[in-house]
Amino acid sequence: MDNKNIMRPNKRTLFLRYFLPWQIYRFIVINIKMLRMMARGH
Amino acid sequence: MSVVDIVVLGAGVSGHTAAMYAKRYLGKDANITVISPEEKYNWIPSNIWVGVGQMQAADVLIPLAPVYQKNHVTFYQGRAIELYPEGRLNNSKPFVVYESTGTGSLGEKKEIHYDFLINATGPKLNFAATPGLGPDGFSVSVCTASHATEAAHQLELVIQEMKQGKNKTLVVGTGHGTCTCEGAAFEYVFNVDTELRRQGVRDKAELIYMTNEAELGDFGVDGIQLDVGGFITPSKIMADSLFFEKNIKPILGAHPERLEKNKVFYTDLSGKKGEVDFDFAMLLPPFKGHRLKSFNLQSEDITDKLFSPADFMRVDADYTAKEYADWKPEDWPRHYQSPYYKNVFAVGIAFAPPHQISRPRKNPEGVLITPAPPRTGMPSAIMGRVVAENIAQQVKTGTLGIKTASMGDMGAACIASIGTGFTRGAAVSITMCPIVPDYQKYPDTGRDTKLTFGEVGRSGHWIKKMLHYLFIYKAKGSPFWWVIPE
Ligand SMILES: Cc1cc2nc3c(=O)[nH]c(=O)nc-3n(C[C@H](O)[C@H](O)[C@H](O)COP(=O)(O)OP(=O)(O)OC[C@H]3O[C@@H](n4cnc5c(N)ncnc54)[C@H](O)[C@@H]3O)c2cc1C
Repeated sequence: MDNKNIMRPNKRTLFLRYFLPWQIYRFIVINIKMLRMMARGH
Repeated sequence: MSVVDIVVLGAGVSGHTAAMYAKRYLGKDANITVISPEEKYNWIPSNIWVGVGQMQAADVLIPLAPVYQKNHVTFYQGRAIELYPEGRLNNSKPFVVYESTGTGSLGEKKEIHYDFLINATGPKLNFAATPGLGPDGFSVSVCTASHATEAAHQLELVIQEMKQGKNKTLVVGTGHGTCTCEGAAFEYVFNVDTELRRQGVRDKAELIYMTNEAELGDFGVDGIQLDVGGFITPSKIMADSLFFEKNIKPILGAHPERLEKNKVFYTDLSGKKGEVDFDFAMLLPPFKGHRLKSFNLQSEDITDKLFSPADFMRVDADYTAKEYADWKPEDWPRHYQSPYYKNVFAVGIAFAPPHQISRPRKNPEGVLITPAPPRTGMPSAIMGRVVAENIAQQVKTGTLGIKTASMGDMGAACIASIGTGFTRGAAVSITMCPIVPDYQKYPDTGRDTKLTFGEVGRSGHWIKKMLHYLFIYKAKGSPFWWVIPE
């Protein structure tokens, strides 16, 4: 694959993917998003 | 009110859910019987972790007999083989015939009468569609816990050779042009990548992802337009990025034609033929349904009427052949009821979908290379619950409930693991709503962008792990199991 055409994570994104406080926050956010989606589908 | 007999075929995600809810809703008003060939329930999504040696088969299997005993559900270990939806001349009560797979009664046949039947027999793993595919051929699979255990063993052998300095090629993906479950193949390839890195041999491996998707991120749902970082981003872009980042080489639009020892021969959407030499291959099989030989009162064979050519059971979908441009969410079933017998239902992978969700594509030789529509765990379980609820309503009031569980309305959450471990683990968390795009309601993207998003991170791994424990708790029928949503 030619990297010119590929979106690549920058350092900040790579860091945040594993940064504990941010990931705890995302854990909560994603769970809320899933529950919202379920509420709509159920 | 007399006690009704509800028979559920298949103790997988959809059937087990249907049986447990039917008992919960109806209590003593219903005898619930489950017929299923394996003595244990398999939480299939976690097979991925078994397949890389990060979990054992025992972690994803639950003995069914104690669960059913505790919940007053009758369990017969066997395989349904025949269906008599009009009963016999001397007894018009419908029944199924099953063949025992339990030790002590192996091969014995028995008739079980029903008032309501829920067919939740899931997929038949059709390895035979590609010569040389599967555990009896030259590749491994992660579709069952035992397949996944063997995959982990084979992977470990290859890793040991890499540790001795040898370079190896590993191929992961779909073993036929019409496979489904691309999400599972996607998860497995990234988990293999993580395992190779964990064991310090990633530089010795060429990792190839062979998929029937025309582009990465299709997932059998025609791709997803995700709301991320202030942009509506096609899932292709996110998937391309991940494959690039992890140095996994994709082979797109591929239809493996046959496998030989350490070699897969394929053709692709352009008609090009290719072959890949491999040291390890995990290629998923295409799915068929479980066709039950069916007979009417006159003992005439009505199997072809009840089941589609791919052996899935026809339900309340619109099966009229249509062009891609004319596909609509309304084509998809809402109640999962047989159009021929109102007391027969098919849920999960057992129901016949009206068509694919991804755009159908053929190569110049006319070979269909298109993902079949996925029916993942969450919608399968919702179908099981909704059908149980509607039947319960009929038993209590005389009128079938009107709850629906259409893939044209409901959403799905897909947490695709891209590695395990508390610190190294991560997942792509995706939600989409609806599963089948609705371009009338959402002209730009086909889906509600407020409910359709995706991101990569460690939190996704925690969610996946949490769901593993929650769903195993739920499947065990442990206290307040019904509080856990599907
Ligand atoms: C490797 C892999 C990973 C996956 N990962 C995910 C994931 O992360 N998230 C997700 O949502 N989905 C995932 N899925 C999909 C998910 O497993 C399926 O959607 C789900 O299992 C479908 O439920 P089902 O009840 O239709 O079929 P199954 O769960 O397969 O159950 C079918 C049951 O019927 C039984 N049966 C078969 N024949 C007969 C017969 N003749 N008579 C009686 N019983 C019979 C089978 O033994 C089985 O117990 C994955 C699938 C695979 C293969």
